[in-house]
Amino acid sequence: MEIFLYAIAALLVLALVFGAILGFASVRFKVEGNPIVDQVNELLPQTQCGQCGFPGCRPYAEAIANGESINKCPPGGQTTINSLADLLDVEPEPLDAENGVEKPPMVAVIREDECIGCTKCIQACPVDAILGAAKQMHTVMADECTGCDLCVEPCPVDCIDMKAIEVTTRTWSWELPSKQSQADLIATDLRGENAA
Amino acid sequence: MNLPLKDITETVQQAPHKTWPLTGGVHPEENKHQSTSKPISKASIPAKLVLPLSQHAGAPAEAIVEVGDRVLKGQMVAKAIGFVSVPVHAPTSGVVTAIDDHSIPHPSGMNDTCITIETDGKDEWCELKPVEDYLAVEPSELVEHIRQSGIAGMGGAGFPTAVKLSPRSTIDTLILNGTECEPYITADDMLMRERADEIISGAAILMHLLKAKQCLIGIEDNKPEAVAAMKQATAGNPSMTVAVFPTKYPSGGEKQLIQILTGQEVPSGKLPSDLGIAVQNVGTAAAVHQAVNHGKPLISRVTTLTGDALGDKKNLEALLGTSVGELLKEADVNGRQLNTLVMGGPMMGFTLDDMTVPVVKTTNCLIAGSSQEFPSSIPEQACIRCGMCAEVCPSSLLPQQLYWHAKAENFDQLKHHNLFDCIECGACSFVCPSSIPLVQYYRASKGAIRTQEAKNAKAERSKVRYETRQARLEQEQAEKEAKRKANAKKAAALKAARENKDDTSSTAATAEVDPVKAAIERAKAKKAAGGASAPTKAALSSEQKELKIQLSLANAQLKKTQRALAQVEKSGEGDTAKLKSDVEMLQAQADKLQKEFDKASAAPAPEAAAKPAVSADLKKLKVESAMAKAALKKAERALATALEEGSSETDALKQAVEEQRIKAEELAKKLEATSAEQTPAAPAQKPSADDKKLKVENAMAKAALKKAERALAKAQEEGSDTAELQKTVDECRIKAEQMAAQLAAVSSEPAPAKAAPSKPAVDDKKLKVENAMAKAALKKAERALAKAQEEGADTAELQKTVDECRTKAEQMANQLAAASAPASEKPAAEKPVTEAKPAADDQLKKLKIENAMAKAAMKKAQRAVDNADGDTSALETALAEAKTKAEAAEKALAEHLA
Repeated sequence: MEIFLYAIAALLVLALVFGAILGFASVRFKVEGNPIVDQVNELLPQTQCGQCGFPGCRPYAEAIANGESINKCPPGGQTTINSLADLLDVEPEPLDAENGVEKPPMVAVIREDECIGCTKCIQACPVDAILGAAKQMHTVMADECTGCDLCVEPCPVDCIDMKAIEVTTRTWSWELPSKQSQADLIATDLRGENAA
Repeated sequence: MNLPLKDITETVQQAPHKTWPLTGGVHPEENKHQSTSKPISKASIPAKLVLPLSQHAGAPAEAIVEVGDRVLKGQMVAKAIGFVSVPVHAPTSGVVTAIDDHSIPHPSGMNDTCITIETDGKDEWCELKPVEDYLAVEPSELVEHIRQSGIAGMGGAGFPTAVKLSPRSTIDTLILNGTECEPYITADDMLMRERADEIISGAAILMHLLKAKQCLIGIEDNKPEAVAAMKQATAGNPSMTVAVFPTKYPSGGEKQLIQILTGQEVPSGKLPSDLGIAVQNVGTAAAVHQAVNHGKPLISRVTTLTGDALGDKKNLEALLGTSVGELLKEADVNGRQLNTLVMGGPMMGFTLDDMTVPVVKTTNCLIAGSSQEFPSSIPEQACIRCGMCAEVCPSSLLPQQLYWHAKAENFDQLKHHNLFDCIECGACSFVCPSSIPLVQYYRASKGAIRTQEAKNAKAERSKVRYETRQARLEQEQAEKEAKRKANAKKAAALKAARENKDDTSSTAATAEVDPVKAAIERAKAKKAAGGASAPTKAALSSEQKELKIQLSLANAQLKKTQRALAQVEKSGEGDTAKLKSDVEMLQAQADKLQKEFDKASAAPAPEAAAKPAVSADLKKLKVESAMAKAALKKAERALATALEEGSSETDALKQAVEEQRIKAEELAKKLEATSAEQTPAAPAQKPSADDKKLKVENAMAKAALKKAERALAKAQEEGSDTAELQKTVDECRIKAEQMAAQLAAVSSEPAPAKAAPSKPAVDDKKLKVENAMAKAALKKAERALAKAQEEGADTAELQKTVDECRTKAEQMANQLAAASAPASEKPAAEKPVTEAKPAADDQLKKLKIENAMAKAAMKKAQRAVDNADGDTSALETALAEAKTKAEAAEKALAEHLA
């Protein structure tokens, strides 16, 4: 009988000790905020375009951390979805077409002789990439433009075009060998096919 | 057994330099003998040279010549931009005919900016500035000289030589790369055979610059003639050693050559300079010699022309910019045999589709291959994991793993497997039994990773910019809020002070609040001071009258607002701060008006005193007339009351009225006559003053209207009693309209009196502003309507408003058009064309803007139609309208232009 009491007492003491350690740790190593939000935000393309339905990339990151689906970012495209799926350990899903389709990277270009200097696009730009003043011609800093499209709608004279960023000899890169050449046929079989 | 020193050095020189074996590597068929049978010959000067601005690694050069300029041989035509960049020089004399996009030697087959020079055949040198004694010149100056000579690595990568000559760490070994391990190429071989002295001289300069203690010249053992020539040239120079090692591809890679000659391996991510080693191509050394000792910039290079499709395989010294087609012609090309044209070697080069691409600084070889030489590639098959690729990889990578990860686009794993240490030599593809184009996989993956990294960097930058902007906006908001609060506080304090004043001195308060009393008092005071016999009312000029009206209006407004404020404060709901600020504003306005009024009423007195002779008669007459009128009025009133009461005195009264009327009329006539004589005194200024006043009044009336409207809207929102407010609004509106009408009348009248050209402009501007406002109102109304429709609310009224607004806007537009048409026509008709131009330009601009806006509206409408799901008929009509508008605008613009 006594041995049971000892056992219970010992377990009780152990429980108290470990409980105290855990309690201390939870206070001492408390994590401020949700670190997953930052990690998700890192992966988003930061165009701040709002196509996901949230007012910017960080709000969407917060929403993702709270269980929002990860396929609502058209500028990031499948690459972003895949990396988000990797990070959150969920199945990658195809891009939700409701939010838009994946487009090549764009840059806003102001047709400068048509600009009337209304500053509306400047107010709309989420990354301050448009330069200009009231009644002065505006222009886009192409390097800073995220191609988010937000400046197009407010323009009263519709002088902003979204142009796909052209590939130059400096940005060009080789493509993966085309799928066609990866025929799963051995060469001799293929030759036979050509002859036929 | 002591040998003399000289003998020892000779023994050292004779002893072969120890070499280490290359990791991996392959033995492709060499095919070098075809092009070594003839000495290097000079290519003839072609009619046209095309110089790409980017012939090197790094930033492209920037053209410093213009089309039409004559350039001399060796003259700089494009300057270096940035540190990693080199200039471009004219290879012969001629005229610049174009600076535009031209096809360049690049695996993408894309175009890039090039300078085209039409040669004149004179081959006239510009003034050359050789360095007389390079040992006496500051090393940094010498490096700059080499940079300005346009020298970039001539082995293939084209890295600016000057950058390699300014290393951050100390260099003890210079390695001259004469390996030329790729099949077919013999340019360096021939250069070493024929110009060994130049190479050694260049090497000496490089050693001096790098402060290197020794120079190793690495040559494969398949070039015995070159080895002999170089050995001969270095004889007697103990610091230079010719190292010969077995032929194996790719011994010529920078890191591979370092390993062969020194046994050291350049760690991943490090540079040779971190080991104290610099590697330069033998061709580069020769170019440095030319630049320093002869002052000649890099304008030509030795290029191997080989391949089965050529009848005359040889090495040519070609001017940079010579088209590939021209060179092949010199080598007797057989067009029918030519199947594949390769620039560079068969292992690392790329095929050209265009014969017009020029020879550049890195073009060491052109292979015009027949179909036997370069059969079309065998289709890729599945990897059988044989591991041969790993055996031949000179960088000890795992090509197989890289292949799988590249296929899966698993960039992290690729980086983990050191993809970026791959030198793209093609040894793995060469040995692959499944003919997998492995190098292409690696190149594509490298490109994708670089793109991804650039994207990430940009995203990071965008994030920072976005966050900075957010912070700025928040700060602005906070500042605004603080300002607003401070203002409200100030207003409250002011109000409290005023209430205090009210309690202490009631007379002051009444004077302030009751304008009528104040006016009476002032009138009395004036009467006492001036002692004039004229009645107060008649003494007030029209100006004063107007001011007075305004003042009383402002005071009434003030009172009303104060009452509203009191009410709100009592009920404790609604925005008191705003009302308070309104009160304050009104108060200020009233005060100002009061002051003006005071001034105006004070002014006539001295004026009258100053020139009494002129206006005394007139004044008297006026007074009399006014009195007569007053008497008449009084009599009429008495008559009216009498009539109403049915009294018997009416007849007498009637008579009296008649008498008075006659008197008044007489007086009026007299007054007219007199004033007609005297009025020319100051008619010019009056109208403008009136005009101004009217304008001010107009603006005030409008402001009052607006305020009242706002109050009404708020009241409606709050669901309180709006009948009174509505009345106020109506009143205000009527007043505003009257004012506007008056203003219009006045401003249209004095227009001719004033300077003709400025007036219409003002009108025009006003009209424009009004027009814009009407448009804005229309837009707002439309938006409200749309919203109401969405919410399913009652839209009949809104629709009416919209229609009204539209008619107004259209009217405005018409007016504007009418006003601006003569304005622009007049100067055009009157003045010479040059002066008329700005006006016309203005008009044109306006029309253009209108046109653009109409188009934009149309586009937006189109978009809306496209996006709308359900009922689009309304939208479509809007679209049709927008279209007609846009067309009209277009037509107007066209007409104007015509």
